[in-house]
Amino acid sequence: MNFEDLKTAWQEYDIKLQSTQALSDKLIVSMIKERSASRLSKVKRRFNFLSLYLAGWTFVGLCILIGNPFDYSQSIEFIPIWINFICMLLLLFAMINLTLNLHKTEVNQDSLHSSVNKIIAIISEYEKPAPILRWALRLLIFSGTFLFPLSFLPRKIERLGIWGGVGDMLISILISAALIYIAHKLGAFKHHQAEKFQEDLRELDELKSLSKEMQQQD
Amino acid sequence: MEQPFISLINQHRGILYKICNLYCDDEEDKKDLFQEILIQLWRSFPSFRNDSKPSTWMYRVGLNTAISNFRKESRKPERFSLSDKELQIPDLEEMSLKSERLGLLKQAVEKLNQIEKAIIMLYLDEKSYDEISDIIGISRTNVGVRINRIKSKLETIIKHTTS
Repeated sequence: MNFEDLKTAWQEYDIKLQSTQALSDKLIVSMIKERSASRLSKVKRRFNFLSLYLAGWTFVGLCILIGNPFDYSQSIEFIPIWINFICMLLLLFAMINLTLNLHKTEVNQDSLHSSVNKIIAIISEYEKPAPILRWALRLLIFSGTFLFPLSFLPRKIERLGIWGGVGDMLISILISAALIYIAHKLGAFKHHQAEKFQEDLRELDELKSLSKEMQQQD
Repeated sequence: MEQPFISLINQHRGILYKICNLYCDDEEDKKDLFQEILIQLWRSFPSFRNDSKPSTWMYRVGLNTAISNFRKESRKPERFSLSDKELQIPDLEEMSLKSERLGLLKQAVEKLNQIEKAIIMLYLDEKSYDEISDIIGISRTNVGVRINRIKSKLETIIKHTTS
């Protein structure tokens, strides 16, 4: 058996496929009405959701800064809220920028080579905010766990005395720290993200090798 | 717009079946890929203005989806909800049980990488070098070089399998 026999086998296969029953209109219509599960569509939806989520928290931060619900009287007390607000705002801008870039991208009618390259660019872009996101998250946790309870210290000292105030603040910090530690142990911060990141990197490498292979031929 | 799209899909449904069979082994994966390609074809249908042949457009979208857009992580929860009986992708595996030649073809093609699979599928479908070059995005000369390499690779696989 040689390559020409394979060609005949392929033609035989093609004839069999063409003789299969036609797809019903109902089936095609219902399939195209479903949401796309492609990598690109999923990333777009995830970015939209994250942008909305960050916009919500930025708005909450802004309301706190304007409305002062904690009755802060000194500028220094606002530091944790400002840190949260600035982190959220930076992340929101980064996310909106990426989301807009992603929405401009359509890969389907390109050649396979340029399509692979576009997907590589998208995944690289998608991974870009990961380190910033990690640092912003750390800063947010630090600010929420330590600085936020600290901002109430002057009033607590006034009300409970120095040791009572410091003790009360330490209890708040310890409870928050314990909750974060438990969440960390349960894998809330590390496990899933690391796994996903590794998966994305594997995918990126796979696509890069495909692109490289096509380039080598040129 | 739906009716011309449906008839075009039906006219070239073999292309979709072939891509699904070449790029997926599992029945569920094939159905997911089939649906994903259909969605992507539907989305790009308004911009398809017969600049190229409908089959070229379908190969492009289908192969791009199979290679770059389709990932297992994003499947099951969003798959269409019709009964499985309504979509039966003719299985190459099943056909190959009845035909020795098809069995050999399947075994040989499985040993190729993703790009090689795409090129050889287009070649076996008797697409011109220009069309293959257009769909894959490599030069016409290199299409020829690549096809020759794949052919000898396949012949070696066949020799090993049949001896």
